[in-house]
Amino acid sequence: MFSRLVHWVWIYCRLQLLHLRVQLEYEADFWLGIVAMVLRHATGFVFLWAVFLHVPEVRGWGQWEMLFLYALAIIPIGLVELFYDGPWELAALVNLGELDGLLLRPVPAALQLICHVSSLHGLGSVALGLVLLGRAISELNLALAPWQYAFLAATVLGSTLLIGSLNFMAQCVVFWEPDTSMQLPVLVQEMAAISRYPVTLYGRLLQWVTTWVLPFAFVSYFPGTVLLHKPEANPWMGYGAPLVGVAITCMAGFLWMHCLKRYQGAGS
Amino acid sequence: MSGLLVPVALRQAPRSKYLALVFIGAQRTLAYPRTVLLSLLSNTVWLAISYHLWSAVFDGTSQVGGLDWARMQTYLLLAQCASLLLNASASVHRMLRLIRTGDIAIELLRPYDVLTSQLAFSAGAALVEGVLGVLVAAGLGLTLLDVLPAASPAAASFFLVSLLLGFLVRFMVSLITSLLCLWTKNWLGLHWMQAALLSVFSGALVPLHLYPGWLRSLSLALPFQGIIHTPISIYLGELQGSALLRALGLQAFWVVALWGLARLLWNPGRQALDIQGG
Repeated sequence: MFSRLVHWVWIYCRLQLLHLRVQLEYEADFWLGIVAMVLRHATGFVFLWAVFLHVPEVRGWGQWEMLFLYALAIIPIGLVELFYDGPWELAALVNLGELDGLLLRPVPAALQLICHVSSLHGLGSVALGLVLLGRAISELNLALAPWQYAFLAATVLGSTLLIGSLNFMAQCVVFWEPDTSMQLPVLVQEMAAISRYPVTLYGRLLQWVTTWVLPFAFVSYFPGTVLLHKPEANPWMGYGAPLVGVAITCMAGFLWMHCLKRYQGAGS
Repeated sequence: MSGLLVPVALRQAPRSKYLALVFIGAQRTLAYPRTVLLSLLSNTVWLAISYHLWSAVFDGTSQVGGLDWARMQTYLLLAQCASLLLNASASVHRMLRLIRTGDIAIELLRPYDVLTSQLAFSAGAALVEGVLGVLVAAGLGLTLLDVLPAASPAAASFFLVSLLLGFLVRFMVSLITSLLCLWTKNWLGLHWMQAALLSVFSGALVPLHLYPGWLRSLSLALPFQGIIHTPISIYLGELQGSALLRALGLQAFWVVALWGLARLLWNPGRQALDIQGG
């Protein structure tokens, strides 16, 4: 079991390296993409900055507290683009019947799918996120204990699994609705952007949806409030956040098994 | 829907091939009704998100940079609808994909001008999404939000003119983006670049009034402001008299200039075209 796991990890790394080389083939687009990614996440930063030019705080949240949550959200979003972006190809694979090829190879299809593409562009948002996180920690004078840094790392890892697996599950809709335009995953991706700001700023409906249906609140809000010692912090939800990502990933695995049973090929 | 009638009408009166392409663009959008509905839904979700964020901002203060809450709500609703109308993203995406996969070669063989045909497709798609967007906006505006009416009847009609020019500017920006793809050979980076520039400088993200002086001047010097900022300023009555005419003239100038730039890029772009074989 263990040696097989190591073997899969090795294959995963090999496939990712292959895509790295594909990306570098389009050099101009690669650099544009990195800059664009920084710019894209900088837009949210511009929003916060423009708001805080005019008001000192928003419902008890100061500028750097909000930026702390913002950074906590964009780091995993970038990591998903780097390491877990393959499911975006699922719709095309199913439509053209190319999934057959993946199923025939002696490596799990899910693993091949996950490494089917990777966008190095995610580096841009990871870098921006780390810089913002560091600045926020020093501006807020957060004295984090070493175990809290470990928790921070676990959260980022859990959030990456959470966002990536929710995307994976949304992509599976192609097994039922074979339209290539992929609007549901886009909707889920846009909902992920919700996690960039404290969920208490949204209405009750959105708060409920982001906690219980598409649990993006566990990306930044719940772990962020415990680390920032906010009065509304809930230690169970906060410190339990990384586990949500693991649970969602297991759900994605079961859904994938179910979808593969449904898959009929494209008949070509 | 009208999809059944249109081809018949075209066969009887083959007047303008580009007009026909407009209908094809509209039909293409209507062919996937669930997709259109989901895109409306995600637009509404975005509107809800920004509505709540701004209402939290207005909790502690009655004015933010000269905008009160009623004006801000109007701004948000109009910006969201305008971006739906102006998106027509499907067709622009198509051009990028054509270049990436090499299918552009087929387009080049067809007996029409590729650039103009793209405009026609986009106009068709925008027609459908625009009508739906206006319906959603009217529904939300009349029920949930306190939206201000246009400053005056004249402002309302100039708003529509400005929106049309805004659509053209938006289209030109996308067209130039896709033409640049002829050199970079891949579209992802370019597409994101364009999306980021549009959201920061058009006023879709934050009203340009709220930017500090230097960033506002920069935004006003770029063509992107004509997409969202100018139409809404006209609607709210912030631009009047000669300032209004100047703003419309500036939009028209950018349309012509960008179309010229696209034309300039097209010929060397075709030389640089590299069919990558799918």
